[in-house]
Amino acid sequence: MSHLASDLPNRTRERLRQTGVLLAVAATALLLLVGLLVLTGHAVGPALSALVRGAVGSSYAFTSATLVRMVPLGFAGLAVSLAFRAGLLNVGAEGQLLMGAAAATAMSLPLANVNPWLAIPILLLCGGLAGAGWAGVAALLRARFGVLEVISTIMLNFLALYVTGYLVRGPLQEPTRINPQSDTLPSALQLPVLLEGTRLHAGVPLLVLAAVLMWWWLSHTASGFRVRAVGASPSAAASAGGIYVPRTVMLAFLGSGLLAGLGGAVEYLGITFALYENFSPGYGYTAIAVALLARLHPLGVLASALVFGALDAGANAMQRDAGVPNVVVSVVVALLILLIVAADRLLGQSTLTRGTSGRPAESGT
Amino acid sequence: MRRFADDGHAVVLITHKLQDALSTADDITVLRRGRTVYTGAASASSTARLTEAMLGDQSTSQPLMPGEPAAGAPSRAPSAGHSNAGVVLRLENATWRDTRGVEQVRQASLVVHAGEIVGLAAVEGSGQHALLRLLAGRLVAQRGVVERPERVGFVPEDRHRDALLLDAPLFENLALRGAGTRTGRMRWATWRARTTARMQAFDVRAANGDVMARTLSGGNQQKFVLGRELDEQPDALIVENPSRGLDIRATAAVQDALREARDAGAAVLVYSSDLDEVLTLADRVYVMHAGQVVAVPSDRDAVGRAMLGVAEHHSAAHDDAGSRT
Amino acid sequence: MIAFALDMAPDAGGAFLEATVRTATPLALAALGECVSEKAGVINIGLEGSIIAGALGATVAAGLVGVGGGFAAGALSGLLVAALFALFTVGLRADQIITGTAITLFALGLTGTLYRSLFGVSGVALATPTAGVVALPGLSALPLVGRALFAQPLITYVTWLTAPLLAWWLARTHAGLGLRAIGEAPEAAVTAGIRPRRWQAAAVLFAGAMAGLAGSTLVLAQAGTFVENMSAGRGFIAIAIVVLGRWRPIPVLGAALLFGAANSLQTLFQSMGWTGVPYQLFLALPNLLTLAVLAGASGRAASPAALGKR
Repeated sequence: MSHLASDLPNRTRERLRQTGVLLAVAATALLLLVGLLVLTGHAVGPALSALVRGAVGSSYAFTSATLVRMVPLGFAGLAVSLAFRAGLLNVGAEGQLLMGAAAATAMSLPLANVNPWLAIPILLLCGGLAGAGWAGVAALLRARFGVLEVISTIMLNFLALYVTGYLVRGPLQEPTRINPQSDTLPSALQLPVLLEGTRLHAGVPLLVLAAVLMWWWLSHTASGFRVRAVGASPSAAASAGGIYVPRTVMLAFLGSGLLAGLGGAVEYLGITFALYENFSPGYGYTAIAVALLARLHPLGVLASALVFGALDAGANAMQRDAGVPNVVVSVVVALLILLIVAADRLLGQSTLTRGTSGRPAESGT
Repeated sequence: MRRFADDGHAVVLITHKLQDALSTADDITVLRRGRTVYTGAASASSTARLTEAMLGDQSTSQPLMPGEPAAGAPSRAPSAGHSNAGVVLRLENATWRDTRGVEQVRQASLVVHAGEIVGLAAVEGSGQHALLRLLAGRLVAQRGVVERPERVGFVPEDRHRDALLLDAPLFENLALRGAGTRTGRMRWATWRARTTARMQAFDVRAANGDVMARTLSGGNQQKFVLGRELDEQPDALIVENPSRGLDIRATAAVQDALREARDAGAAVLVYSSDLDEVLTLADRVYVMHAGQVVAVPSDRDAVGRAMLGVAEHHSAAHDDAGSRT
Repeated sequence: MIAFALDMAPDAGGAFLEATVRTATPLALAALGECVSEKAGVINIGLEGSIIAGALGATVAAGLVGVGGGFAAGALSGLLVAALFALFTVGLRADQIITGTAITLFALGLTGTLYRSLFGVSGVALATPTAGVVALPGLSALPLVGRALFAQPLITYVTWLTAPLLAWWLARTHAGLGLRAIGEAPEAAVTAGIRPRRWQAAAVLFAGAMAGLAGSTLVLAQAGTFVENMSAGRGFIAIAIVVLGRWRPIPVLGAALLFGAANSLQTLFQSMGWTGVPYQLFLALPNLLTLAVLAGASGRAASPAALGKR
C-alpha cells in the first residue's frame, strides 16, 4: 500500500487537466468575443483595450469597478454552487438576491436610528432570511409536489421582479414620489468604505469570509459531507449512507437562497443604497457561469467572481468608450456555460451532471 | 397467442412458469447455461421432466468455483438450530406493498441466527429485493414484525448506483456509511487511515485510499464495499448478488469474506440469483416465491422446485398436475 | 363576471375574450411545439431562447420582406436555436436542463446584442409591419365571441388548426405512435426498429420552429416592435401549459387560452373600473398560475414516462 504522499501525481495530473480545460474554454471565449465584435462592426483593438482598462487599467477601476462587482457575483456564485453541489438546479439566485435587497430596504426604515453595529448585521440577516424564504417556496414546491426547481425558480425570478416593481412604486417609494426607487439609505447604515476615495466596501471581506466558511463547512463537517454525497448520488447516499435525502436537499436549497439574499443585502448596503427595478443586471444568471467556471468550489468562486467582475466592469467601459453594447459580454458568458457543459460531456467528467436528474421525485426515499 | 398461432404465425414464448408452457405451447425446449438440454412436444412433457431439465442432474453439474463441495455430495439437511446463538434477524408475517400497491412481500417469515449463513434463493420478481431491504432497514413493512439489530451491513446488488460514490475517493466512500446520523467535524486523516487498514484487510487492490471509486475494478469495488459494511463488526450482514459481475478470483475472495464474517459471529443473509452460489455458501436455505418464504432442505432439486413454485414430490416419474402459486 | 362586465361596459366582455385569444396564440404555438418535444421525451427549457430568437428574426425580416417573410424567418430562427439545443442534448447527451438554461441565456444575450447593433444602442423602439386582422364575414359579427374567435390575425387561425392536426397525427399515424413510444419506453421503441435520437432531434426542431412562430407572433401580431427580453418567461410558461393540458394538443390549446385569460384580466379589470390593483399583479398572474399548475398533483402521472432521460 503506497504512502499518501505518493498520490500527488494522481491529483496534480487531474488538476493540470482541469486547468488545461479552463484555459481552452477561456481562449474560446476570447475568440468568440472577438468574433462578435467583428460581426457587429466594431473595431476590435479599441474595444478590447477599453475592456481591459475598464477592468484593471487603474487602481480606481480595479477597486471601484471590478472588486465591487465581484461581491454580488460572488455571493450569488456561492449560492449557485451550493445548490449545484446538492444536485439542485437553482437558477433563482436572481430573484433571491432581489428579495434580499428588498428586505434590507424595507427594514432600513425602522432601523434608521439604531446603532449601525447592531443595525447592519440585522439588515444583512433580514436579507439572508428573505432570500432563503424565496428559495423556500421553490424548495417546498419541489418537496411536496415534485415541481422542477428549474422552472419554479425562474418563475420566482419574474415574481421577484414584479414584487420589486410594486414596492418601489408603492410602499417603499422615495418621498417625492417621482422616481420608481426607494429612499436613499442613510449614510450611517451604509457599509464602511475600506479605501479612501474608492467605492471598495466591507462587502468584499464579508464575501471572502462567506466563501471560506462555506468551503470549510462543505469539506470538514458531517452535514457538508451529506450535501456532497446527496449531490453525487442520491441513491447511494440514501441506501449506503442512510442519509435522509429530502432534508439534506431542503437544507442546501435554503442555504443557497440565504447566500443569494445576503448578496442582495450587501449590494444594497454597500453600493446602490437604494432599491430600484433594474437592481440586478442579471447577477443571478451570470452567477451560474461563475459557479461552473469555479467547478463549484467555494474558493474557486472567489477567483471566478473576480474574473466575471472584471468582465462586467470592462464591458461597461467598452460601451462607454468604444460604443460596444455591454450585452455582448453577456453573450460570451452564456456561451461559456455551454462550452463548460460541452467540455464536461466530451471529457467524460461529471462535475455538473452528477445527481442532477430532472425528476426530483425520484431522488431520495 | 393461441389465435395468433392458429392464424399461421409463429410464437416464441419465454417463461419460467411451467404451467404456462405446458398449457399454451405445442413444443417445449429447455435451455440451461446457454445450451439446449431438452426438446419435446408439450403433450409428452411433464412438470417433473421439465424441472429436472431446468435444474440439471446433480451428477453432471460442474463445479463453479474453488472451495465448492464436490458435485454429488450429499445435501445437507436443514440444521436443527444453533442452540447457543440467538436470533439476530427475524421476519414474522411481514408484508410490504410498493408505491403501485403491489404486494412484493406477502406475510413472509424467516430467521437468521448469529454465526450462520442463510441463503435466499428466488427467481427474479419474487420480491427478494424488497425483503432484503426490509431486513436492512431501507424499507418499512406495512404489516408484520421486522426484527434487526442496530448495526446491519448491507451490500446491494447495484454497487454503482446504491453503494458507492463513484467520483469520490475511497476514504469518502468509507465515511459514507453512517453519514446520515453523524454530526460535527469530519476528521479526514482518521478516515484515510481507516481506509488504508480496511483495504489491506480485504485485499482491495488500488494505489491508495485517495483514488476515485470509479477507477477500481468490479471485484475490488465489491471487496471494498464488503470491507466497509463489515467495518465496526455489525451483528448482521445482508448481501444481494455478491458475485455479480465478478471474475472467479474475486468471487472466491468475496465468498471467503462472507464465511469469515459468519465465523466471527455475524448473522449473514445471502441472496443470489445463482443457485449454485446459494447452495455453496448457505448453512440453511430459504426460497422466496411470489412474495412468500419457505424453508427448504439444501438440496438442489428441492430448492429449484420451490423457486419455480412447484410442489414437492419425491418421484421423478410422477407428474404433478397442480403447481403452487 | 362576464355578465357583470356587460352591465358596466357592453363591449368589455368581448374585448376581454378577444385579448384572451390574442395573447393565447403565442403561448399556444410554443406549447404545442413543446408538447411534441416532450412526447418524444425531451424537455426543452431552451424554448424561451427559441421564442426570443423568433421575435428578433421576424423583426428583421418583416422590415425587408413583409409579414409573411417575417413569420418564416422567425420560425427559422427558433429552429436554429433549437438545433443548438438538440446538438447538445440529443447529440452529446448532455443534461437537458442545464443545457436548456444555458441556451436561453445565450439566446437572450445574443438577440439583445444583435438588436442593439442593428437598431441602435439605446434600443429605441422601431415599428414593424403588423399582421392584419382577418375577419371572417358574418361570423365575426357574433356578439361577445365574434371578434374573439373570428376576427383574429391569420396566425391565430393557423394555431387552432394545428392543435387538432397534431392530435390526429400523434394518435393515428405510425409516425406519431413511434414518437410517443420514444417518450414512454425508448428501449421498446428501439426494439421496434425506431431510431430515438433521430426522432427526438426532429421533435426538438419542430418545437423550436413553433416557438419561433410564437416569437414572431409577439412582434408581428401583438407588440408591433421588438423589445429586449420581450419573451418574458413565456417559454417556461409554455412548459406549464403542456402539463396542464396533460400532453394532449387540444387540451393544451385550452390551457393556453386559460393563461391568455390570466394575461388579459388587466384589461377586464380596467374596463370595469377596478383600478386599485397594482398592475404588477396582472403581470405576475401567468407566473403564479404556472406554479399552481405544476404543483397540481396529478400532473406528473400523465407525463411521458421517459421524459428528461438521456
